[in-house]
Amino acid sequence: MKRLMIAVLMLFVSGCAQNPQHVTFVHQDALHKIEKEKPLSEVTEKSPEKFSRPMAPYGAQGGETLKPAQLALLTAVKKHRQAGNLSLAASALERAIRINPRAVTPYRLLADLSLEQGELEVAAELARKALTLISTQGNPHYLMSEKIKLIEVLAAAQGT
Amino acid sequence: MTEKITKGSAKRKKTSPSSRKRRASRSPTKPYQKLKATFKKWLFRLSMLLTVVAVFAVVALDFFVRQGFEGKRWAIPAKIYARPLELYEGLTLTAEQLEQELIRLRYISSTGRLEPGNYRRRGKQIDFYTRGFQFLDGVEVARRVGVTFTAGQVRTIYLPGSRNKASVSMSLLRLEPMIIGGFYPSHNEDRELVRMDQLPPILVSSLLAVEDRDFFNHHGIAWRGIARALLVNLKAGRIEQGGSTLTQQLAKNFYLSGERSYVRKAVEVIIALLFELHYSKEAILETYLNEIYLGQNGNKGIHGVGLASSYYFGRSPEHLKLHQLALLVGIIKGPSYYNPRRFPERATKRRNQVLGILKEQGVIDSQQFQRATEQPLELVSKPRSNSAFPAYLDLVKRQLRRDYQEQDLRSEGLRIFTSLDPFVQEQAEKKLVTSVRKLEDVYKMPEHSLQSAVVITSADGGEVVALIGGRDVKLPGFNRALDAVRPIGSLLKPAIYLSALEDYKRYHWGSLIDDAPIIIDAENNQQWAPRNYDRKSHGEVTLLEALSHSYNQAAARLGMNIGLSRVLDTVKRLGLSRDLPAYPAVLLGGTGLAPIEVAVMYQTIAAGGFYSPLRAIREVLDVQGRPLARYPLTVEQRFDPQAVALLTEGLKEVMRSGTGRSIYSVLPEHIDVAGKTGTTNGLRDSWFAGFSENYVTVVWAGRDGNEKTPLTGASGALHIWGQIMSQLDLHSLAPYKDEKLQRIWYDPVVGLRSGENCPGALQITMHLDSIPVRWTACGRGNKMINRIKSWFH
Repeated sequence: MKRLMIAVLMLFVSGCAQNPQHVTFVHQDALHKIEKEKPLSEVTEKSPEKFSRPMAPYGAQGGETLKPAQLALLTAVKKHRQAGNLSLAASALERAIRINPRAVTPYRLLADLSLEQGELEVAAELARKALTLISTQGNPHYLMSEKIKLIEVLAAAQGT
Repeated sequence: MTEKITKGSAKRKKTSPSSRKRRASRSPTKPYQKLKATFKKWLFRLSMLLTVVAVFAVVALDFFVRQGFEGKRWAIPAKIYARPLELYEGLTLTAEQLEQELIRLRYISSTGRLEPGNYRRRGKQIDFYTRGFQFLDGVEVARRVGVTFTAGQVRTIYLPGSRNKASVSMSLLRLEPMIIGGFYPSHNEDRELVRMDQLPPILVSSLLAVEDRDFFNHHGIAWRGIARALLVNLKAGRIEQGGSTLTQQLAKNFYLSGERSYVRKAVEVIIALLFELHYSKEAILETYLNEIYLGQNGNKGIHGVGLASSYYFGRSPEHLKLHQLALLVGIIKGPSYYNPRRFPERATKRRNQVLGILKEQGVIDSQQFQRATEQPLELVSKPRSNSAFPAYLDLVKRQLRRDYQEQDLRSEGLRIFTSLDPFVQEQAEKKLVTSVRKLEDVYKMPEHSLQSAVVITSADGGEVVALIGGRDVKLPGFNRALDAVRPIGSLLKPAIYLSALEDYKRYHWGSLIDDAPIIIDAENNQQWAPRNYDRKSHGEVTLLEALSHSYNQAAARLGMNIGLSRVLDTVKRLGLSRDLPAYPAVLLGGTGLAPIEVAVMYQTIAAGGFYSPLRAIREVLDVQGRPLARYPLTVEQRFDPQAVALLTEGLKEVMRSGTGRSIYSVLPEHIDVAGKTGTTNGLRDSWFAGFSENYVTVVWAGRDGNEKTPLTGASGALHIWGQIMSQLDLHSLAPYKDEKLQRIWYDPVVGLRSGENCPGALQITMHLDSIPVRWTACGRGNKMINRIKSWFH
């Protein structure tokens, strides 16, 4: 009986320990293949001098279900950022926001981008907007990783 | 000189008497010879002078020609674009709406093979071939796509496959944007520049075959052609033919008038020779193809093959079919005479004539000739004129003029991308026109006496998606949406309630306020005694009732309790840049605002307390498609989101049970919207400002002369608002799930929490800081019962 109880307990624990960050909604789109994301643990810390942040994982990771169109745009954002075209990346993110203004990830990425460009006040406001979007949706569990990232962005933007 | 005379004198002295005699006998010829010599001398001098002048003239002309040609920068008008339609799975869009969008973009329905600018609809499926477009963030290539629909939404977007290739689904497709206007140079020339490498070789060979077959062999002048023309002209006794080469035509178009004279012809010849001396044949040809006049669109001249192919066929030159490029070449001869829209038969005849020449010269074979001559003209509809959306363009132009020089706007070929949604704009225009007429009819107002203006923005981000400046929606003129500063009545009340609701500990929707008459000391030792619209007092009312029924006395009292300066500060934070006078009547909208200013304030509320300046322009690109300016999304948190969410709850109540309740005769019950009516003294202004999850719309209705109308905010502007909103893809306001807000039962009389079935209990949303700790006896009992009941569920 004791062993059975331990086994049941283990099952519960393993269930709780399942990291939602690994749940990836992959869209089968031949035109815009979503690149395999780095796990959050691999994201290195930002460099405070330049406010440049490594590109954070996009979209579906961590739980927010984005529309395939938004995911396609986030892929474009990634390419623009890699090429150093931050303005184009911002433009693509705004398109993603227009497609669904309640989606948190595009706002978070836009805040991140503003931070990278040294626009601290803009970054802080966008982060606040995204955090508000999370709270208006009742702080769902699947947005917690976004929330953590946003708090980081906000803290970096405010210099705290 | 003196010496010559002396010598002459000496000579004379030396002459013999016999010679003098001889000279005397020849004396009659002497003056003639002298005259002749003088004439010759002067003729020589004159010819020398003329030569010098001519040389100078040619040198000057050469300088002028080179300056003109090398520095030739056509004044390229700025083009203003509407938003591009983004298609993606799940987008609310019907096949009819997509077809309408394609028609707006001048696509033509085709039953045959699809080519750029063609579409085919089969029930709930539309196949079309995009034209491609260069956006700020990349090029959308021209491609054939298919879109299917289900239940009013886009189901799939795909690239059709072929025998060996399966169809590929797409997650996102951006259509090219519609041109909605431009800034044109003073001479009203419109053109789109093209490079030689963008033109199909057959267009060039066709042009040369018809207009100047020796182009690559002559030096600017076709002597044979001139001789032939001269003969014809001499025979006719007047100038009938020109015999011009392309180079001469270019010289004429660049520098000379259309006058037919030998002097002008001579200058044209010289300029043509200079062109050929300095520039390559290719450069001359490319310039010609961009310069040539090919038609007229209203007051704008269509210049160059780039614009002409888009104007007539809705596609870029590289996608022109043989018969289309033959028509373009054909109409060079007389763009008005061969205008294919006005004289299709004449144009067809000319096109076939050109095709005949091409066949004759071996540019095309008989089969191509046969097929091309059998084709219809395949013209697209004329593009919209600059006055299609005058009020919106006015807004765009005002914004642009702040950032750009007028000259640059008219000549630099800027490409301006706006957020105008043509579908929303057209629906709003249609509904405004019919609603205004209906209101005049129902309320027996004189015809054409009622005016109205509308501003529609996106709820998040503050993009202006539609704007109407008056009931004559296509007429430019007084833009009421931007310039009609009219008292706003109760539209300012949300600022009063928001100021109160921000103070969670003191106010909530269940707080009571006295609606008894109130007299307030106003400016200049005056007193202000606002009255309710129904001239009745309603005793103690909750804030929610006071807002939803728009009680003036309660609102004025609340405003004064909070403090005028705090309310005005709230108004500022909502985004109003205008300074409002600090007198009490402002609380009830005694001050004037333009509809666009009202839209700014309500947009901040709709966006959860985040202010975004209203924007009509997204980005500006230069003529090469390089970004010049971007007007990015910016947000600024001005309010606690919970306070704004509470206000939105109240504004929803206005629509459910208050002055805006008639809206649900137009909108479906399940759509939650929020808004506020506004009526001014003497019913001079009828306002409504409200929002759904995705649109903020402000409507004003009234008379230009400020005369009375029979309309309140609810019976006038709200009616128009509802008509417009019912046509849009409205998203219901999303339920607010913040943990700091709770929906509770409350007894406003005793100010305690209550139970669902307790007498006088109201269900309202409260901030945690507002929720009373104590319960009414009834409520507590209920609470216990409910808890016990929950054990069994």
